[in-house]
Amino acid sequence: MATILGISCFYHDSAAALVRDGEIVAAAQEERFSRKKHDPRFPRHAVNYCLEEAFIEPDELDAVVFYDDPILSFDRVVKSLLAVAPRGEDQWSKAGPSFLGVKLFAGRYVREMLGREVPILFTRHHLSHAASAFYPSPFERAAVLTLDGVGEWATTSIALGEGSHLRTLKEVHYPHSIGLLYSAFTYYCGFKVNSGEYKLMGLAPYGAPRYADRIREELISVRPDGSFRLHMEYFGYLDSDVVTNARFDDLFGGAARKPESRITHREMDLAASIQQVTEEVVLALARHAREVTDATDLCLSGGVALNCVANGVLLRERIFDRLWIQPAAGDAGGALGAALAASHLRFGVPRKLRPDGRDSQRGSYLGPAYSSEEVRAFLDWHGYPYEVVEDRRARADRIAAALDEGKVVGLLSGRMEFGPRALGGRSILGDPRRADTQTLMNLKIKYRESFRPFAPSVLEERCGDYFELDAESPYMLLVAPVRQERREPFDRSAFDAGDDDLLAMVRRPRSDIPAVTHVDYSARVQTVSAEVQPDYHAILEAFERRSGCAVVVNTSFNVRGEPIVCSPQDAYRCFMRTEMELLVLEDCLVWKEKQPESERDESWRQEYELD
Amino acid sequence: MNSTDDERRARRFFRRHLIPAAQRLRARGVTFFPLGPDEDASWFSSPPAGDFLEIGDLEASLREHWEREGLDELARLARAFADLADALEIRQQDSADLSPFVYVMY
Repeated sequence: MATILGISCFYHDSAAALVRDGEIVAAAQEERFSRKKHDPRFPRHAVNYCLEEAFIEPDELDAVVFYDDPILSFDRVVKSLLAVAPRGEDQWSKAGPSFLGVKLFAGRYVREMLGREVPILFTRHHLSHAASAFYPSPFERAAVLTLDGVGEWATTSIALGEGSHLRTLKEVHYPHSIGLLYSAFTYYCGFKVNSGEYKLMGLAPYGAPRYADRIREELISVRPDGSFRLHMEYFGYLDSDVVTNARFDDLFGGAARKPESRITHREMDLAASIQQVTEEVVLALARHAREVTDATDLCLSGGVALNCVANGVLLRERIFDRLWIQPAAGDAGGALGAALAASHLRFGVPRKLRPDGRDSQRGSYLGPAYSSEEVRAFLDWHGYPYEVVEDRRARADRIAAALDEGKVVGLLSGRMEFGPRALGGRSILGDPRRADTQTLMNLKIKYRESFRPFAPSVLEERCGDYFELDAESPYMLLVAPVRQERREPFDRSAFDAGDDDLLAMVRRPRSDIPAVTHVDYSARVQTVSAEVQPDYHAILEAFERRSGCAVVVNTSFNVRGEPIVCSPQDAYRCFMRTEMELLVLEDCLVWKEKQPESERDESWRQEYELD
Repeated sequence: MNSTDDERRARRFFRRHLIPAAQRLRARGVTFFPLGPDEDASWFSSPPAGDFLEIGDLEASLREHWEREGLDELARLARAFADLADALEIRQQDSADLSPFVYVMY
């Protein structure tokens, strides 16, 4: 028996996870409770939730494991400064106190919060990532590739998992980082580092990789084994608080794009270029991982593993037979990996694979759930009108009917997702067939206008009818082409000739599911299985029965800048702030038209900073 | 004490301890990482030894780490780092904001 609490915090997206005898009991990000996006603080709410979910007191924990090694991280901080001193004083004066005053005392935070003397361990950042990918995967033996910005010294690592064992074989070290290279372009193209990488990836299909050769020649050198070095004279992160520098600007013809300003073809081409180079590096590393491990399956983790376009390319290259990607691939997932690594490697808990061949991540539904009684108590307490539809099929029919009528539906069902994607537990749903769904959901629900289409959820058994994808994608981490026969021709010659109106381009239908089809006919697919997600599967089935379409639009249940909703209270508040027409809280249907006018709230725009 | 005091203290530390240490290390030819490609056939490194550690005394942990690496200039600063950490501890925990660039370097 071993009950282990894993914690990640003090960078961004802090989280906690609880593992008992190698089984994942709970995992959640602090931001969902604190309502502060990417909250980096010690995850006291998430820890409390994990303990409650496991029905245990702190003194029943066998260990608390922190997801990285603060001594080794501090070693990197100091050596980075010494490498550039006397430059770097500004950087040190701002970031040094954060590191010294907080991160080095992680153990003390744990003791103070738990009020008990629980053994506290620290593990390696990339081991945490690798463990988060290998142990929940359905593979007995697999190579594990971790790619991120940096953790201690490692920025890239190759590991081998076998049964209960996991061993790191080799690493690429800071400052040479494919994650930081991608972040440099994220910053340069005017998006936020650490959260805007997704936008850069979504921008890439609009552009052409005109700068790819320049990146290969000037910014990064790659060996045949996939190991790489950045040319640091073009980067600012060793001696300033900006990722790029003046030489980087000169290389690409001027200063970085100002955030929120118009996106031009330069940014589109830069996005396409860095995406192409990133894919090349990922493929080279994967080939080398295959060589050195002789494994037939691959697990992926680290923030770069959220690049679902690169993941799709990796799958299609067939370097490995199968691919499994940790859905909380960023630092939040480190909490889960730390707990799993300690369970199996330190406490000797034998790893058990599921007999049905599925993974042990449980659909990533690892957060809090709210019972029907709790939902009804909340609605009754406030006097909000609702109707109860207990029968799953009848409820799914009502939701499907609303979607078919073009209504936008908020869905809170079961346990909250762990990781950045909403997977049907805390989602906003729409009809993918309508040409205006994308604009409607963007303007009236998300309060943004985006050049990125929404993601589709599709019945697992019908995926092949819509997408050229012959693998499961339950965590929305694979991009695949929409099937040829569903595509509609559209002329992008004017756009390619210099018209940079992204929104006009994205509004043009490209398939019979236009709201989820990108301008290159790709889609970020979530496959939905009846075994793992029965409620969500029932909604998709009902929608197909009614409309003939086995796909719905699935976007995260939040407005721009807000963390994904956690509780019925969060969901109701978000519902009333937007133009969603139906809110589903477990078996309760809440119709907007019946809600009190006084609950409509426009003040949220001041509450959340832009993402 | 507030964040301005913390920043001032950190700056003093940088000038008093880190710049001289950098000069001494450079004088004996110590470099910590390559800044670009070289002739090596592979740029992979070995992972650090050990999967788990327990951290007791901060000063001792830092000193032992740098002594193992033969970096006496840094090992001698372990006490100063620990003192600075003690002076800065806890007040930072209430801040929900962390610059995204902090992640870039730290």
